[in-house]
Amino acid sequence: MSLNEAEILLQINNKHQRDKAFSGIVRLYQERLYWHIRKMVLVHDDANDILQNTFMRAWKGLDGFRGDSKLSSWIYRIATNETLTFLANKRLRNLNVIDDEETLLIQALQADSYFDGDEIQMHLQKAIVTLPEKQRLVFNMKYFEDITYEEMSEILGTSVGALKASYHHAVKKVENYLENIDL
Amino acid sequence: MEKKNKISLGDFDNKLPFNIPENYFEEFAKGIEANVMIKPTPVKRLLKPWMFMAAMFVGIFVVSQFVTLKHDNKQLTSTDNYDLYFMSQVDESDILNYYINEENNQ
Repeated sequence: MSLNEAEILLQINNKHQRDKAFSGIVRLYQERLYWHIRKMVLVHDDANDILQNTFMRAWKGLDGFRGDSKLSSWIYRIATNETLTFLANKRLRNLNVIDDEETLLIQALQADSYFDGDEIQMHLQKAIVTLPEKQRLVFNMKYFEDITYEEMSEILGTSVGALKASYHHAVKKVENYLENIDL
Repeated sequence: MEKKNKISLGDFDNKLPFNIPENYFEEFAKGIEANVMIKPTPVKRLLKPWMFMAAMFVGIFVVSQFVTLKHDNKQLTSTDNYDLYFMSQVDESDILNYYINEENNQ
């Protein structure tokens, strides 16, 4: 039986129920976080590694969770930071590679056996990876997950106004990219 | 070249074109719980703190006695060696002369 956020919060505050609380967090958020990460890194194996790191970090930080923010925002923030760190490290590793980051991401996606989209969906992914990293995050969270701007603001630490503007620009860029594709 | 068809964001249904291995989330949850929540085995205290301290002092005493004994032996050995070395440097006739002179003086 999976616990809800309120039940997990009660268990976090009880020293003897930390294990149960953590288990509840994993069961409640693993799926959402996985897709949140996967949309950024595109490849299953990378998403799996980052998800593991996310929960490791959450476990270590569980004692420090004071409930100042929502549990979901806290865990999303960890996942987002882990994802951005992963992408930054990947960029550093590929400094000597001629291809740019977008090309490398798409190449990895094309080689991933866990991609089951058609040609049009591949075009959409190509359009999304042309966006700057933060804009890509905002676009994915709004377009695919339909997360409210207020929650996004709590996760990303950006104002609601800036997020709305960022999403608006992202949509324009993606539309422009798709418009220039001949089928 | 004339463009045939255009695609727009409206053509997509917000569904992701990704899939995952079978039972992935169930396995993932089990794996992470097993990895993260391994409890360290508590160290059983065989000795009480005062016993530990007493044993430590006895240990220090025994070691210091051993070191002192070794040091004394070493010193003794070096004194013996020095006497032997000194005697080996003196001529036998000089020793005999020394004893004769001693006897004559008496």
